[in-house]
Amino acid sequence: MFELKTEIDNWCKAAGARLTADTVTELRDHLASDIETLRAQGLLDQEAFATATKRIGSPDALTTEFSRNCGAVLSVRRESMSPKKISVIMIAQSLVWAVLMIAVAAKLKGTGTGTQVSMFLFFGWLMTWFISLMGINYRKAAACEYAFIKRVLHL
Amino acid sequence: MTLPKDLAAASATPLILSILKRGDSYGYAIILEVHAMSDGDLEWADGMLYPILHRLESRKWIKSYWGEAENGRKRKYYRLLKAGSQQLDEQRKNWSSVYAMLSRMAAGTN
Repeated sequence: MFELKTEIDNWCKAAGARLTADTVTELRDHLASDIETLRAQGLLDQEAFATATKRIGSPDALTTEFSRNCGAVLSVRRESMSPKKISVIMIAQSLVWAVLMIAVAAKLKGTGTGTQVSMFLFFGWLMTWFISLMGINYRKAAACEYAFIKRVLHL
Repeated sequence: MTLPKDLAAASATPLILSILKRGDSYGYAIILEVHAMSDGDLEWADGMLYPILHRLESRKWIKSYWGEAENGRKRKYYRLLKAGSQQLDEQRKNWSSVYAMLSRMAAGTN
């Protein structure tokens, strides 16, 4: 038997694999509103669901559309990642930069330019740090920072 | 008559900004308004609207906030910002100048 609520949940679950939770909530409202309109016009649940999902497009097609528009690939990916996962990326990046800075400082020791080059690399590290947090809201960025510090303290 | 896809895509931004100029709205209502006002000439795929709304928001032309639908469902509303209003004025001018140019050319050929 066709269960409208279950079908909508399944559609949203499929969309949630690629899109952010906020976007899925927004799309759910659209889907449900369209289904309500179609049912009011006399369509059965199954027909209304089929029409509404056809109109809005498949989750895959929507993801492509989101990626093509608004340069949202980054925010789509970042937003769907947990702060813990992002903090792991940040740690990996930081380790690479730290190794690079130490190596350069050791190589240039005594030449007088080691400190300057290390500072330059430090800014490179800061840049990648900000790029890691791009496309996500402040609250989540703070959660990532917190997860990062927690992990560093455990290392 | 249905407008070609590229024209529909090009007109999407000024149309969305125009609708929001009249008051805050949400995705589904914007789609319905466009369908109603275009008399069916403009066929938007429903899914294309949301990436555009998100892009306009990232440009700070509009701002979103969460509210509730009549039945208690979570709903995302959009509000036009000052930069969006300025952008709308500019885009209206551009479209008007294209229209005026086409009209002059048509008058010249008749």
